[in-house]
Amino acid sequence: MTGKVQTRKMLWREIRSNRVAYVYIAPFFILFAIFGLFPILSGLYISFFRWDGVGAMKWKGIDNYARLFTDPMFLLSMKNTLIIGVIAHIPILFGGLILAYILNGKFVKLQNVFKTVYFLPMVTSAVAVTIVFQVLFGYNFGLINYFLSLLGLTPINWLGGAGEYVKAAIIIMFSWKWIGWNMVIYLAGMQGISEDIYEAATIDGASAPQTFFRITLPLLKPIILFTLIQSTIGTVNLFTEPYVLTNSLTGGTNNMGLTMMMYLLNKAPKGNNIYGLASAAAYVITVLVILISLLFQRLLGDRDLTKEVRSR
Amino acid sequence: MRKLLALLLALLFVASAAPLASADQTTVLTVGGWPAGDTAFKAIIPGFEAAHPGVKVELVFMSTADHHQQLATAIAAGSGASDVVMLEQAWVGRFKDGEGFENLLAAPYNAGELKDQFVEYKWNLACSVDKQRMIGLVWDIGPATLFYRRDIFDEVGLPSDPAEVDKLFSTWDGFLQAAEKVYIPGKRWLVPSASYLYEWSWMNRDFYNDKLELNVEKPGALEALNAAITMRQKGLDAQIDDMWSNEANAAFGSGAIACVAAGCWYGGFLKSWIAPDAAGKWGVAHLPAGISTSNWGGSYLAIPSQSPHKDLAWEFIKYACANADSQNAMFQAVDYFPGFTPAWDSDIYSAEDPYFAGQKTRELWVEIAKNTQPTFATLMDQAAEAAMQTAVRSGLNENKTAEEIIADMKSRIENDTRDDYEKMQELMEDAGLL
Repeated sequence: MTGKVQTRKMLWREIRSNRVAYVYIAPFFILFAIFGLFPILSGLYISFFRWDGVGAMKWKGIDNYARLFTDPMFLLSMKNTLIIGVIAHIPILFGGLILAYILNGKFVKLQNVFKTVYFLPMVTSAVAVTIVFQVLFGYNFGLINYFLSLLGLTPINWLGGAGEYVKAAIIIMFSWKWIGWNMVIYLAGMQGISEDIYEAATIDGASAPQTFFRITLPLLKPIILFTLIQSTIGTVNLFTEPYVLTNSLTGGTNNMGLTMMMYLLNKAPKGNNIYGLASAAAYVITVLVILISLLFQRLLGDRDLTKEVRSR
Repeated sequence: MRKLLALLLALLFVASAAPLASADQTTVLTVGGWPAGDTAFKAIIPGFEAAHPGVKVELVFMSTADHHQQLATAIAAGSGASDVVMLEQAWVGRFKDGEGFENLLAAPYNAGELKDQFVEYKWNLACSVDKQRMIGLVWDIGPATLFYRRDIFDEVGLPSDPAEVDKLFSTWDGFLQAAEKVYIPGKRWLVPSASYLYEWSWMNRDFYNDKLELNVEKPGALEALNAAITMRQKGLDAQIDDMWSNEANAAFGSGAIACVAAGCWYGGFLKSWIAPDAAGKWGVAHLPAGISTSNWGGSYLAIPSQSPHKDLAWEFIKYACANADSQNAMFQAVDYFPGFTPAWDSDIYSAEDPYFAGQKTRELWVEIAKNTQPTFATLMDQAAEAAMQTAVRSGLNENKTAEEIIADMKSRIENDTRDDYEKMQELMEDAGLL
């Protein structure tokens, strides 16, 4: 008993003696408490009520959550987000990896030019770019359809028709933007791999594909895990591009471009003001992100692979 | 010594800021809204300030969405709203049954005395379910109009005189005939999308009757839907689903699309940014095939309860909306058609508009405004409209039959409006109306 009281006293004494340090780190925590922690907790609280933002709140229990899972729109938005996420990340991740590998090799001149060009889409304004793409994807007068017609193919109704191509349009835009980001991260990861390992491999007679698959990739695993989790969060939050491209909060033709974030913001505060349902949706999305991230974590592990490779 | 100097310097800064905040004896009245409301107000502010010495009006303007978002936050927070705020129709629907705004029917405003001078259907839309509270005074309305290209109609042998156009378009067959004549494959169409033939019948947003029953089978709607299906099957429309998209705007400007329907304020859009070089080429007519005279859009002026200058705010609102000269001045400035009927007695309403080849457009709009029927506004209107649009646009794209489209529309509306429908039911039950 005395032991516990002693350690608590010692703890306080330590805190007091370092109080200046605490003052320095306080601003972040205060801001986080107000703008991060409070909304997170109050969002959970609101998700159990029906609220329009100004009037009284009405208790609903888990009714909002039940509503979500019986709303065909929400389920459609989940399906859309999943499809867009999975398909878009094939070019984003693999393309980024390949580009990084090519740029990492010393046989390409003007490396910095390429790095800049590929990264440029990341620094553009999402809204401006989407407006341009909207014109490019136009059915009658769009540039992409013009090129297709030059090649003798039938023009595609990207944003209209029965909505089959809306997701394709979104995926094309999404990939175009994010390939550069992943390329830069993989490149940084690759450049962090010590040259010794490659030298040792060459001495042992390893070919280029063997080097890539047996050394580079395994050592990049933590980076790949990072990009996967980041991509998951980015996909699930996807809003600006589909919203501006389809020019509607409900995902355009046949709701084919409806992502989870669009569904949420349509409920509150952009489309309507059904805050309870929107908060519930936000929590469902959060749980989804956590589950997927845990899955990736389990699959790609946390083992220290540099030691493993060296010990072989 | 240095510390003393620093202290004196700080005091000096504080002291220099003080005169700016000192009692200047002018009251500042803030007015919030979205463009082009500011241009409209600038036309009448000098008159107001002259009539109220010591008062200065400040405009706080931003995009429609931003304005309403900030207003909603300010109402919830209890501070930060302007003294007078513009409210768009959809947002009035959200606010009118809750807290945060002054009830203009109560003392000291007693807006009820002005009721007869405003367009009835617009007035009711700002009143609470039990009609005991009204939160906004009517400013402008948007009589639904069909805009068409006279020169294209002339070119293909169609009548281009508005009265003749009305006669031709009085049936859907006539409308489809015109579509066939105007059609040049890949180059020119009559309307952006066949779905609009059906969407126009819902311009009034009269989705629900006063028993909260969905009004889908209203007269004329089914014929409009069948006409839309026929038009799409014959391939006579441009298949541009959204008349507000960049593609559509370019098409209106270049003459690739010959006809579009909207509120009368769309005339202002045509003149300023959609087709500024097409003066003399457009004309206005009624909506086709006996679609009931409708209204699309229009805003209100309201007083947030947190304002410290409520009486002054009411003076401004009355000066702007319940005054024929002000309304007409603003109309001249930005084409916001007044909802204040005495304003229509002015000569400017029989003026010819050179952009529309000398047509007396305002007479047409006065007539449409006078004949528009009231509708029952609900919280679900916006969501219902979006559901209707999705159902008809995708139904046409997938070649569905009329029955399938209507069934799809009903199920979508029911799904998307569950929460608001419950709330609306509760409101009406509380008011003893259900």
